[in-house]
Amino acid sequence: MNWKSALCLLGFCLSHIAEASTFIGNGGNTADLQLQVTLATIHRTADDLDTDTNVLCRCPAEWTSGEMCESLRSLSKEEVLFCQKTLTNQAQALAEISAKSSPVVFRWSSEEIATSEVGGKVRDVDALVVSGKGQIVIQRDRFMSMTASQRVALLTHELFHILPIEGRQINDSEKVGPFQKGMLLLDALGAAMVIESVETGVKDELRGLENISRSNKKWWIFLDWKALNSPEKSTNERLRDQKSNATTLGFEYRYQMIGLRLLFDDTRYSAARSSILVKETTYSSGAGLSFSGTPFDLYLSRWSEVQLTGMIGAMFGTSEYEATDSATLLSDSSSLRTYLGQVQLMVPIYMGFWVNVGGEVRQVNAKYEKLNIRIDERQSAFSFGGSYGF
Amino acid sequence: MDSRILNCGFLCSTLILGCGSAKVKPTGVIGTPLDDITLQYSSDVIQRSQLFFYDQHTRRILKLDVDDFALTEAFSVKTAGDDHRLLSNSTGDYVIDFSQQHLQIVRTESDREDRPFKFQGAPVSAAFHDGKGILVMLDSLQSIGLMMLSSRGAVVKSWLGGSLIGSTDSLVAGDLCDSGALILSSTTGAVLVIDVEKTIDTGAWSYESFATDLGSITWIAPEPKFPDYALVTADEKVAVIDIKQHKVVAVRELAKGVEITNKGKIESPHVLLSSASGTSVEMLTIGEGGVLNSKPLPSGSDDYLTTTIYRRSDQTLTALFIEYGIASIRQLRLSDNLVTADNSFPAEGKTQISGTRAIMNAQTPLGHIEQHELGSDDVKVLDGFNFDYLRSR
Repeated sequence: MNWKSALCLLGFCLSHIAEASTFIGNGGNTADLQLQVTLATIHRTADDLDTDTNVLCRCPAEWTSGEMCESLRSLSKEEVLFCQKTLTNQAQALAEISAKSSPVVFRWSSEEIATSEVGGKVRDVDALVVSGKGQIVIQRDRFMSMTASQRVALLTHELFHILPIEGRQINDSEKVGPFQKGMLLLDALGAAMVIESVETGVKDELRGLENISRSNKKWWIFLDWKALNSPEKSTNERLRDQKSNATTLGFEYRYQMIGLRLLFDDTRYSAARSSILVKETTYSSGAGLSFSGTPFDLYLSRWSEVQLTGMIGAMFGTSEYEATDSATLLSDSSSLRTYLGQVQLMVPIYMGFWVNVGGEVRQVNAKYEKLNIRIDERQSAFSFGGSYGF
Repeated sequence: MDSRILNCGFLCSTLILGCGSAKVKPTGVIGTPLDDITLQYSSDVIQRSQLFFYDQHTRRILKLDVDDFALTEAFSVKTAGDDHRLLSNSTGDYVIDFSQQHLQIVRTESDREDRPFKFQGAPVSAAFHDGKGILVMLDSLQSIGLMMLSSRGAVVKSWLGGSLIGSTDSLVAGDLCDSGALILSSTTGAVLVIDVEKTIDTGAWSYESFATDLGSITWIAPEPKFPDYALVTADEKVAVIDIKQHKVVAVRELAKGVEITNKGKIESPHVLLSSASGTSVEMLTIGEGGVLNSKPLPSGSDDYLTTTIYRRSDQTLTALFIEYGIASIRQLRLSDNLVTADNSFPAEGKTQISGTRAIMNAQTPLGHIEQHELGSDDVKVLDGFNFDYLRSR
């Protein structure tokens, strides 16, 4: 192991890696889809790389701005040629190393990653190659906050740390070809791949997946409609049918898999039976504890973001009952207590929006004193709604 | 129990206001039609404190204590259909439930007499002498049922007869008298005084009859105040007949354009006449000696009229009007035609009048009964009394 590798390893060891998940095999990490899309972009772009090398590593004339062009416009003629030659020679290898079957292991770090440079200076980095192990460690929060182009550039940079250039693996600080620092070449290669992915349309092809709602959000808003079913005996005593509707609004704070959800529930029943119009309305609020997970690990699929959530909670409020016919109005109200358990499947749509489908069981207690009606019933419900995570 | 017949037959009242089952139109009436208004009332002589209603939503007979204004009992109805008409005795000890081909006497939920008397048609009208325990019923097939009841309402003996009298004559209309005799008219204009008990015992009509030249008498109303007399209507005539002397003692032939707009048997029989233009309205009653008295009433006072009560004791006429879905009960002081009370309420369900109170059963699913004190704004309401029963089903 040379000193450069040791520095990299030291930098790696300076931080704590909270997770051991990779996008290969384990699944369950919301950033995995971002990673898959980024690697797929690199893979397809490299696989179909334009043989006309003259356009590579150059900023197209119509690109008037953009950070990718910044690193390319400053290249000298020799550096552009070297970049083009490197990219062309390693295109196939790059395609292989970024494929689904790649032997490279990607690991996430929830903590900051630092690396030591020559002279003892330590700097934070977005990602880090663990030399000799074929591993790339990525700081997850930084990666998730990047644009798609930045991610392509980053991983291209890191992958070229693994691929040999001029027969050797290079690091950020050593001289390679006309580049005074390896980092400058790798940044140029990254920028070139981004431009190529845009120019060839690969980036657009995978853009849809980029915008899929992500499950790793902290804050959630839920709005669900529920079809409630009550026991027949209990509802007959209130001269009403078994079915009623509920609307539940939820606000949740989630930390990793566990969340605290505030609930606001409105249940309504109104129907006429034998010329008696019965209305029953409940308003309640409460809280619940939720548990979430992403059970599927599918390559380049929105289904890898699908969440399965469970929640148990309690709500308290009031219930109002009314029975009327053409001459009589009977009404009463009661305090209400509800305990509930819920399971939901959350399917990602786009831009943070989700569709929820699930089921719920409620235990409801109330007593209308004036009308001498006691409610102690177990309700089941089918729920359908949407949510937004941010 | 006072033996006086207050209405010569009818002590239970059922007023159908704008709704109800299809009516059967008899050619004549014995007593009072079960479908039409009959008014339960109280007078100085008999205070009726128990009223009965049939509730079609819960299919129960409800017993109302008028003084406490509370429902005291409810009896389930055993027969199918909703065609139930009710009669009760003055103290409310039992109620007679008439329905299609069926009669039941109910004392309590478990104490009943089911089909003590069998008939084939639908009950149309009935006359009831509470004091003597005599019940006479006419059905839609013109069968006439005679029953003797005990003080508990048990049928002691009974007989069902057809309307044929002699070889060609038929019975038309009539009522029970204070003496317990059944006064009936025939198609030939004869009046028959029928011995009810003897008829039942022999199984054949037992009567004395006398002829009149009144034509076909379609309405007979014995006068409680003057038990020997009865007010009758027939063929453009209003007359008084002497039941004891077997003769017609007074006749009023209706002038051209004058018509009978209302006939009432409670508390005393009376007939309202109106001219074609409606500008002249008069009431005919029986006076001392069997004379036919005439009393002018305000013009238009018989518009939309459905039933009337003539009370001799305070010389008042209580009338029930139904107009545009609103029921109005108006009391008229006959000495000067002053309107002393005018109460209105929605014309739904069934209304009974007891003395100075009008009790309306709205016939709604949850149950709603109102009691209006005539001449005042006092209204009592019983609401939602069917709720617990409906829940328990």
